[in-house]
Amino acid sequence: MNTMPDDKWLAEMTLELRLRDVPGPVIGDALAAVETHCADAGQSAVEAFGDPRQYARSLTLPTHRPAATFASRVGLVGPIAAGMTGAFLLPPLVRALHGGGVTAAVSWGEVLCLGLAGVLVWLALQLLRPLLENWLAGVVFFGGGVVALALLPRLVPATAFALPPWLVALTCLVLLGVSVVGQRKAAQRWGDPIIDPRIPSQRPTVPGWASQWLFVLVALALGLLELVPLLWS
Amino acid sequence: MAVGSWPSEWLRGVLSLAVLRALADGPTYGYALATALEEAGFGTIKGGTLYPLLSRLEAAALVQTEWRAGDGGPGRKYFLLTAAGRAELTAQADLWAAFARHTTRFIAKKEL
Repeated sequence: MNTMPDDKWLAEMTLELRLRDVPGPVIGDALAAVETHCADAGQSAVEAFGDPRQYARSLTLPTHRPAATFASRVGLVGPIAAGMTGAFLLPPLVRALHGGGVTAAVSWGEVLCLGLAGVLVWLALQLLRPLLENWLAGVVFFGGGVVALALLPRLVPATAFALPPWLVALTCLVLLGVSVVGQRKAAQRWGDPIIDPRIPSQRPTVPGWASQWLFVLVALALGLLELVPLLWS
Repeated sequence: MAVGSWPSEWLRGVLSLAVLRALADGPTYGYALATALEEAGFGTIKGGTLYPLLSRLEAAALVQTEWRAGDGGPGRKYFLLTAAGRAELTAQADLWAAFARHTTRFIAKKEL
């Protein structure tokens, strides 16, 4: 612990404050205070402030839970739901294109998979703190979730519905597009960026491209996972 | 006993009052405050002790903060005593003096 690098220390402090619902600008202020004190004192963060989580807990700071309006719920959940559905459409599309089929069949297992993934994401957000603090609980939850999601399509292969591949492809593109644009808009509108008070003119950074394009990446991964065994066999 | 080697529990108890008094001299930033208190004999005060205390004082509206740009360097967070903070300092200082007199008298008694 005595050799924890400052950026890791600050990241742990940030996480603890985010879990306490401290507003972004207040987090930025607290982080900047630590950095400037360490620079003045010529000490590392761990030398001057001790354990980052304990330090974050010892601060008396305002907290807020922004009121969830219907618009904000739709604005935040909509793009995620669209992205997940779009990503889950890719394996059936890959199968249809590879097999030259007239229709792309979506199995009940895949439908259940999508439902389960939604439940797991919701659960993870409710249980965020215990999952992050207890590594075993986190491993069991995420590991178990991934295994269940991988097994479901194989356990229930019966077809739920079938659509022309072009329609599935178009739907997939539209849903993924909605997820990318929608997440960016949601972040700009309801995001709570951390602002460094030392650079007041700095535009708060929109969350990195990785989080906005997350479902596109998931879709590509699922598509590849479907394609590779098909090419192999 | 040399100044600065007082028991840490005493120093912890009086730190809040000492910080209010130090801020009465004018706005200052965290590291300068810690240095001033150390030079006044209150021992080494780490950031992990000082800033939580300052955050409590700010939450109680006894202290306010502002970021000031440095000359050519990065900005620093300055702490200023509010009017309520000055009133609290006066009240606590009187209370402390009475407490110290009371304790000294009690310790000095030949018989309880």
